[in-house]
Amino acid sequence: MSGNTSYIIFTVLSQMAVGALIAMLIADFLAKSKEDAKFFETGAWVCVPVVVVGLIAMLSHEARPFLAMLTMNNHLATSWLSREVLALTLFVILAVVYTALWVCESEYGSLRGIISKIPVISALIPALVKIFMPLRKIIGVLAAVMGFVVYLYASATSYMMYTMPAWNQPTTLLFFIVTTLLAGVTAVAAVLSVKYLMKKEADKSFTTFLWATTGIGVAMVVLLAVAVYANITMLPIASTEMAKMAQLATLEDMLHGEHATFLWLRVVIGIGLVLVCLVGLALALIKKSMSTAAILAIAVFVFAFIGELLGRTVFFGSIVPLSEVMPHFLSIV
Amino acid sequence: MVIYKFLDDVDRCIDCGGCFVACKERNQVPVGTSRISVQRINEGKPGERYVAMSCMHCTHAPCEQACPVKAIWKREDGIVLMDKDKCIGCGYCGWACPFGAPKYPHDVAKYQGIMDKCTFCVIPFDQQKDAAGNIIQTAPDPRCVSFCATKARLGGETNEVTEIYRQRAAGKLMSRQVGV
Repeated sequence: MSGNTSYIIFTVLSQMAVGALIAMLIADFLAKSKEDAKFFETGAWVCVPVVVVGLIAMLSHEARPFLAMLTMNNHLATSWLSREVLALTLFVILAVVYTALWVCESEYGSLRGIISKIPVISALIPALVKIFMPLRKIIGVLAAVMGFVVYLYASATSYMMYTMPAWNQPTTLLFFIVTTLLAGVTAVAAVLSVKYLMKKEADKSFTTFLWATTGIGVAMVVLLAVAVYANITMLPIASTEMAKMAQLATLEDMLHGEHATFLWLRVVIGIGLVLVCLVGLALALIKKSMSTAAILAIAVFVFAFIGELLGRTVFFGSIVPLSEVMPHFLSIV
Repeated sequence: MVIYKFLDDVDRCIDCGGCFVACKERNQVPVGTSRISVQRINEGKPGERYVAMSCMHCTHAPCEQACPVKAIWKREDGIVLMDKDKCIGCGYCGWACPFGAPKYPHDVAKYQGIMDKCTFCVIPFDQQKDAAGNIIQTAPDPRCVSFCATKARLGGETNEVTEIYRQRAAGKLMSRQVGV
């Protein structure tokens, strides 16, 4: 897998996984009955598979993937990449436990049937689930904090280095937050909407969940619009002449170069279409038209996901590092 | 304490490629990668200049700080080295380096995607280890410096290098003042 493709897939999916876990945590708090929990349980299948695919994408670009798995968090003292990997590892561990407590639950977990048929684990897993079930929300909150606060901050900071001037600004963190909450939360909403459309049965808590999704979605679209505008207009602001030179070169590629199409497509799809669908979703919820709301929730996720992939393509593709402008600077000193 | 540094006199470089060839020969750097390159600025225009780019062995090496697997380290004499056996090829040092020094050759079978950079001619491209597992290092003797026909590339002990550069800068200033 080429360098940029693996970075795009890894960052988008790992952040999406954090958002998916947050969505499940919201669902966890919204579920008032076993029926609610049974309906929401399907959404628990989003987080772990998504982050696993992201991790595979990340490791695929390493020259030595197995060595990378063992040693990437060896330099916690100074390397933000090491810190990012450690934070992600802790998040994945917590996310796996949290997901297991959903899907192995004895009354509505979708794996309960399979577990009961396997002799070795048929007694062990239910016993463990019973012990840890009261801690599910706490584990979920810990996973959300590890993912949304620690991992996102470490991840954004690992890109915000002075040798990459166009990344070295707060918009990097804003982009990552938007991917997490917009793509992640809507991914779970989309999966649950598909389930609703197939079974046509859900309680009021699903409506509340879609309202929460709409609110988060609108807030993230507004944040994304601000971040994209800030990214375009504030790029020339830099602390040194060299950094300014690199930022202007990045801006030139973003606005007029080979990544301009991706940028404007991101604006149209990732902001425009997502906003239109979110407004439609809100109207459908007001009219209590759940089928329409479910279809629009799926559309919101599809457009948000495409938009984030396009945005990340611009993020990684248009960057001009300091090393590219360094010769120009050295030649005039 | 002896600290080694490179310093490039851009006014003297003529883009002969001697440093590139000498480095390749000395360190047995294979086809598909290089430890030094000469960048052309304003090519074909007034003010055309040439800048040799390699690892500058930074005092506070950002690559060393960025490397997640501690494959990069700094010797007491300031030379920044790396262990190819530890490198995972993540490319993070390449992002952190302001000079774009780390390279990741993908058409070299033994070290495919593994980082390589200037070692001040202390370690060749194909690093060897002794029985104790330590990388075999030779005395610092940068061939790009000794091969540079115009002495544009300066390298060696910091005080000596900066003194040469200082004298040249003073000479240029004097030339301008007397209109030579």
